[in-house]
Amino acid sequence: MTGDATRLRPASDASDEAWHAYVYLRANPKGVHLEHWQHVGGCRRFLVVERNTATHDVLSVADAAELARGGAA
Amino acid sequence: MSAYRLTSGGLIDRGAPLNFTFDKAGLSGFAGDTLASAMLANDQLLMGRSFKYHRPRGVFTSGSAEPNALVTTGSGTRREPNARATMVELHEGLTAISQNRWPSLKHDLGAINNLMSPLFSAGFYYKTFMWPSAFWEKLYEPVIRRAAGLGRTTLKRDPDTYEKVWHFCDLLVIGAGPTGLMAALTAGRAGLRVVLADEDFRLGGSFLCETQMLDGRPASVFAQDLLEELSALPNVTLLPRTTVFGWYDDNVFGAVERVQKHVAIPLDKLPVERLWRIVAKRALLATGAEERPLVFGGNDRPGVMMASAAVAYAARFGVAVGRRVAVVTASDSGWHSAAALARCGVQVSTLIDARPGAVAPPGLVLPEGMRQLAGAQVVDTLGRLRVEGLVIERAGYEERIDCDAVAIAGGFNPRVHLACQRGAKPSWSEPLQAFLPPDVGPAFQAAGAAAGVWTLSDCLRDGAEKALALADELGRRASLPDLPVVDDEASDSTPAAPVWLMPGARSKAFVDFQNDVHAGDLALALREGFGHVEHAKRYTTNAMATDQGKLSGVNASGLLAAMKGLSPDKVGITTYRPFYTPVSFGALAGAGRDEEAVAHRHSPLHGWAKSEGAVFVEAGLWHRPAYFARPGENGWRASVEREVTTVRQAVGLCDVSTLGKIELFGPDAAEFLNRLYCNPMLKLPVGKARYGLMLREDGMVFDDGTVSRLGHQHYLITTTTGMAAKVMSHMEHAAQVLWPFLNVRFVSVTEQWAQMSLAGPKARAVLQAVVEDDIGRAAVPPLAAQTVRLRSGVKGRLFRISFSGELAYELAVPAGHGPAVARALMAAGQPHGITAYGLEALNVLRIEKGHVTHSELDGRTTPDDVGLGRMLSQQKADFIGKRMSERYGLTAADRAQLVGLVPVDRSRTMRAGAHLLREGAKPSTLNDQGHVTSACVSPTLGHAIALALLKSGRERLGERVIVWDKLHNEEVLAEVVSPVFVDPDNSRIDPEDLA
Repeated sequence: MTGDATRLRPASDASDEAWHAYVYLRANPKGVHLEHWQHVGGCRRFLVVERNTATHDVLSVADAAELARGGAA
Repeated sequence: MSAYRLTSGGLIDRGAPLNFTFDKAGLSGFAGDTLASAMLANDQLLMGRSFKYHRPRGVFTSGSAEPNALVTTGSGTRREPNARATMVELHEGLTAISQNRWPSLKHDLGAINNLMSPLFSAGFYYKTFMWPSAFWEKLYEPVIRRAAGLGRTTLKRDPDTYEKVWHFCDLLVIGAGPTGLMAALTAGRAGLRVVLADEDFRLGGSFLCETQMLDGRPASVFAQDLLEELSALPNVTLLPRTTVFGWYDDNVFGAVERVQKHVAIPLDKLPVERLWRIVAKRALLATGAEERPLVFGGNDRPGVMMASAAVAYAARFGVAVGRRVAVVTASDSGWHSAAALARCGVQVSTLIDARPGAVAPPGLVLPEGMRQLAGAQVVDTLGRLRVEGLVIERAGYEERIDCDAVAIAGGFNPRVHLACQRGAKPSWSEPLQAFLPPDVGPAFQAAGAAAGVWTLSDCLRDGAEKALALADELGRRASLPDLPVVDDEASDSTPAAPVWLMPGARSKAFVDFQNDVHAGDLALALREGFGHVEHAKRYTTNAMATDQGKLSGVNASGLLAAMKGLSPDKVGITTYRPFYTPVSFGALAGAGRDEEAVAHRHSPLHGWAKSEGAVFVEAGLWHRPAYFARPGENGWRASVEREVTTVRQAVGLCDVSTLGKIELFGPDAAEFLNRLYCNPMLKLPVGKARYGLMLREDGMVFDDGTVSRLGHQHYLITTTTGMAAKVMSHMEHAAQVLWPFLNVRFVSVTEQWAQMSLAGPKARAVLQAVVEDDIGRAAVPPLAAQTVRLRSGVKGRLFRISFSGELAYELAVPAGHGPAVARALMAAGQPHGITAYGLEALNVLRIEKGHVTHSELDGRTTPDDVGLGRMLSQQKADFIGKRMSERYGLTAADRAQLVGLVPVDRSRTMRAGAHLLREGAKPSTLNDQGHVTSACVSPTLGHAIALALLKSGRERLGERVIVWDKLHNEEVLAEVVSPVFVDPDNSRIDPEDLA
């Protein structure tokens, strides 16, 4: 699990604030959250997992790369 | 004599006597007994001493909730403390000894604590032993620990073996009582893969102590028929002696099977315990209910026990707990228990019901001559080491009741624990006066008494119906089995309001028997502001003993609720967590102990290194050669010195197979690597290698290694040994999440190649003897990376890379060829005096050259800190870590920078981790100027050297600093020098061809 999947890497010339937020700031909500999980022991894919952090219910799973490419996930 | 063996009845084999000892006294029981039932049959009522007050205690239950009868079983290496006598299956030669008493169980001097109990109130330790603080560790804690305690474990090596298994099933049924058996039968007949687990050594649950007939047959016979059918079904797995202790994510259950805990000498072929991880599509909680104790003065006197236990001892084990049993109850269940005892031939003399006006449930055949006292409260018990009577109050009058055993019945608590282990809380049911399991979804449901279903016939139906519904959900057609008729069954009566505490207690009324918490302690906790159920638990230690409050938790909640004038619903119950009952470390470790405690990785050259005399060191999961000891070498330093000197003067061979190796392909591979490393990678020519530095996004160095371009769209990179897995994941993140549009694929090939470094002035001559292709200076220049053919015909990859500063090559061959190639190189090198060298020599060689490893790249250093600032590309538009590298804090001039250190007194040595201080500064971390990252004695220079990170270090060459090691109380004066100690001009790395 590598945390918040909603962050997008800023352009290299983006503001200090944008980079600070990307590198250091993480939302830690109680409730539904989008997270990156990596299937380390298997296909090695990064997944975007929609999960309720309070109940551990997994609501949806999508392949991170497919999602980023805008493909059907 | 009061407790005795009945002449008939029970599920014991009177034809199979078993001898055992308790506190060295020889006793005997029968096959089918537990240690507790056998001791009771010998009238051994006293089984232990309590934890805090050392009060005499007898067995209280007949099951896993037992708080009192804790004994140490076995001896020598198989000694096991804190075994519950109620769960120990009797076997020939069993030895048990009592605990927490001195000099003997009958005469325990620690009982003086009981007289001093006004001092030992709840929170006593927190209040009393606060000052002076140094006394806690040295005096208070050791003394308290000796006085209050449980059994002692053995410190000797466990001679037994343990194992772990995974198991998959459609339905896991937890508990093999009436509910569980009917559920398993229904699902099993429908073809579901069923696992039926029960903590008891005999399956059947409450069937085994049921005194009612089913379809005119004894309940145990009915259960036996069910079990026979189940064991004949190939899709049903029966697991007796198996405690399901935990419920985890994805409906995985943990269970421990006691395979051979009931034998004197376990067979070698089998584990003593087996840990099951059961992945269940559906699970049914059929754990039944725990009878609730009544809290009254002196309720811990030996001979006082749960009514259900008294019935179990009579019906299942053929043991009468007394000759004049008094039943104390606050619900109808006490009346039923009295009747059941009478059915087994146990004399019940008195029944005391706390409820005013209580009468016998209709239709119940009461014991002959039993006196009935309704609306009476027990205020004290008589006797010392065993109960000799009760003091009761009724309508203002006091009366003494003669008895030699007391069976108490305070209602039932469903065993909801497993369903609450993942955060859900049980809910209080006002009509049932009990905490019921929470709704945790369709995958895990409760049935029978665990769900608040009380009567036997309702439980049978509930188990069958729930299994039917589960089978249906899983797409299997099941049908309801015929349900037996329970003869003379009492109707399900509505329980009265529970009696949390019988008023007027004359002596301590215990709530938690194992931790000696009485009603007064809970009242004190409330008065002192610790009235929340979780606070009260910690303040009083209620429910914190090894029984985890199986008997005391609900009563504490009820008492707090009553004192606050609330419903138990509002007070709640403390959190239930795994494990349900204690699980041995052996079972949890399984086969994973000693060298098998973690997985280990061996390089393909491991065997070769071993044959060369390698002494191995753990590096992560790898076992790598630290040094190669030769006869006559005294200690590792002598070997390392020889290895280093041989590399500098002749040639050495080192296994570097453990470096991470990742091969990349694709039209965008170059662009991908260019973004991954901080230095430029786009223009790396085919056939060349380049040193590369990866940063984290925050600008700190992540890892270093080499990048070799093997073809136009084909690269091979290496990582450090320790970071290989992290780098792989980092790259996958970059390829999949950051830049999914780049067309690149990569795969780890670490295990596929054996790679060795051949270093030293003679390296070329030795290598040429093994490699067929020309490897001369022109053909294989520094940083060449190419495919070569060996004389053996094997194709390998050759890299002109040097970590030692010497003429050096790294040769990679397919893993299986590694040992043969290594041996060929050693043979070719023999005329030159070749040596194998290990991690220690490698480290010395690189420190001499000022090369960095993760000692320097510790996650807090930038490329510039370690002298590699020129590698940070200024031209590249973007790479990981670029933007954050520009931050002020990462470019400040007073950052710690890599320098070398040489002791002024050349005979002194330095240690990694030591702090640097200005000369003359007071030794204090306030004066910290940096720290030593790597240190060694250089055989090449003949004195100690070190690499260090020093504030503004590069400006301070020539300055003297104190190397201060507080741990070893050492101070060494050292001169700050360049971090490259040997061959600063790199003249040795590419000498003229000699051949």
